[in-house]
Amino acid sequence: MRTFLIYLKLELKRALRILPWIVAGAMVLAGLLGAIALFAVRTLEGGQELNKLKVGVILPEEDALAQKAVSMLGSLDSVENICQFVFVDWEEGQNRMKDGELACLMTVPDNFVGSIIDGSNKPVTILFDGPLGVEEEIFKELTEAGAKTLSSAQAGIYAANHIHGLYGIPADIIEAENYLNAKYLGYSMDRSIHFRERRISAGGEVSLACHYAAAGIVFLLLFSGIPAAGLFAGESQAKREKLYLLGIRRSGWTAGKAVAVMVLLLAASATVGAGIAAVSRTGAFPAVEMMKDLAEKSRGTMLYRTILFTGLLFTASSLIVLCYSLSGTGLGGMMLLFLGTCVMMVFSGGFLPQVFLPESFKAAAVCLPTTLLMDGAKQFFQSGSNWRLLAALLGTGLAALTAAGLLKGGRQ
Amino acid sequence: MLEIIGIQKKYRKKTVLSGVSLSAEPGQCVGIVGANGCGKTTLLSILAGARKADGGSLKVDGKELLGHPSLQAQKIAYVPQENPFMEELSVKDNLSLWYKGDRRSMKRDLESGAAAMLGIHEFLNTPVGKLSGGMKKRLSIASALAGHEEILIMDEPGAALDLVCKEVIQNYIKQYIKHGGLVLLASHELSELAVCTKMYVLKDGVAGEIPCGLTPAQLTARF
Repeated sequence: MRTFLIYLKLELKRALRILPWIVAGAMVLAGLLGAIALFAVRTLEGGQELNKLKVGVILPEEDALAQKAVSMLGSLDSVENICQFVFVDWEEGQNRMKDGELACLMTVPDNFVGSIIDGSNKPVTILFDGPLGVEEEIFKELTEAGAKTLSSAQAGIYAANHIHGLYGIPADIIEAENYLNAKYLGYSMDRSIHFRERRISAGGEVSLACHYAAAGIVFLLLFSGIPAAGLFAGESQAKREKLYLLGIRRSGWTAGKAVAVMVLLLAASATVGAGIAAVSRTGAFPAVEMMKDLAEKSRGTMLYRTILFTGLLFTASSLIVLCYSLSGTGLGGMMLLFLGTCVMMVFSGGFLPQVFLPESFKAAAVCLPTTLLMDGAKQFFQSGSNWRLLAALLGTGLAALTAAGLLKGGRQ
Repeated sequence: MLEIIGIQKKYRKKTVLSGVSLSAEPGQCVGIVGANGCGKTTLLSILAGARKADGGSLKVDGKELLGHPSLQAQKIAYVPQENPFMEELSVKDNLSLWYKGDRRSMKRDLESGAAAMLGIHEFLNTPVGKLSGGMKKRLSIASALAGHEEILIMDEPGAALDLVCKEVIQNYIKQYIKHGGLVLLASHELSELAVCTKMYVLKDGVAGEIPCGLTPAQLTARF
């Protein structure tokens, strides 16, 4: 044990020798990642807005109720955000759609509202001109979601009617219908309730800025392993044999390297953290918002956050040690770490949030350690604590270290 | 007394050592020669406890050591061909690892032990990366002997060193055997082999004793 502690002390001393490289690398990396994140956030959130879809609505003649229903539909937040209903007749609608002014034509059938009430549900015909684009696809999804909401409301009302009939209290049906109508309409129409309680973002449970901040943390941790190559260079057969004779076996070697890398990552994180704190004092975007958010969410969960941070450092350093063990050389480890991180982060949404990625990418990302690291980093911007995620992080770190130790043993 | 009987080693299907046997006594320097790739380094690292043998026996004073690396490490010092140091750290730092933190013993050796004889105290605070090949080799020997072992195994100690360093190392070997130590060394250099009191040639996985003081032509004829 004493020999191992001396070995550990010397590995840490070695790590401190390359600390200036790590700090310099972390500063450059943080600047680079900050610029990329800022650009990405602005591109995804601010720059381009989708044009509202103009939907031509053809109403049956002299059906004021249908017009009222469609107008009400058009005023819903979720519909209004992407659609603008334009009332036209058949011929005008055809011409304007051919000119590209209207995205589609919606033909409302006779007795539309009556058919909803009596349950016959006459379908609205929607006509698209040519293949569907992104905006038309969104409109289609929205219409289908609306139809499902309506059908569930109908099912609830009819079930209530049925129960009243079965129990011989038909007089109360009207009151029950009114009550249910009010409730269903209230919940389906007042979208703001949903948005007040839940944040809807491409980044999932966190804002897009926080999503990229989390990606930045993961990049910083893993890329900080590149200047740490010095710790893995000069690992000759002779040195391995001599350490073995001293009683420092593969587990001791792996643990020593992991602790040294953890110290380096801590130093890199502290440097970047200090940099962000300094930037936030100047009031620059997005540091101020994120620091405020972080401070608010951290209340009462400091212990969890400290353990989570340690878990992130541990998992990242284990992955770094694994990369160098896999390659067997310092240069090979650097390349593997850089390329591996880049490829895995594509899948894990580090470059483009996962909502914009194909389903196959999302499925593959579940198995990747970078996804866990991303989720762990995102936890800093969320309230509460997720111990299961922390356990998964530590488990991944341990698995990586074990694999590194076994590889080391194989080489020995 | 060192007794090595029937040491065997295979790397997958390739047999490197098929039954090496040799013996030596304190105060002897045993030279092992052979063509490149004949298994000299494998044999020495097995004797040092750094590699496992597939079979055979290694006895020191009648006590079996093979399969007990910690016992082997207590009795045998090993100087590998390459240097096993943390190059960024100072000589002192590196020594502290091989002395397992025993500062007293380290200080004593730096004043009057192997480290002193090899002149280690002259560059104690220099980073190992800045030392010459000869200095590193001297440090490697001093590190190996941190536990004052009775047997010193050296794998090509003079390879790529200048004449002065070679002389320092040869002088040290002479002193070591003079004080009752036993040296086993593998080498291609006649000047180093001149120190040897017993010689073996390793060929086809077995060791055969040969007379000392052979000429290069006579030696290579036996490879």
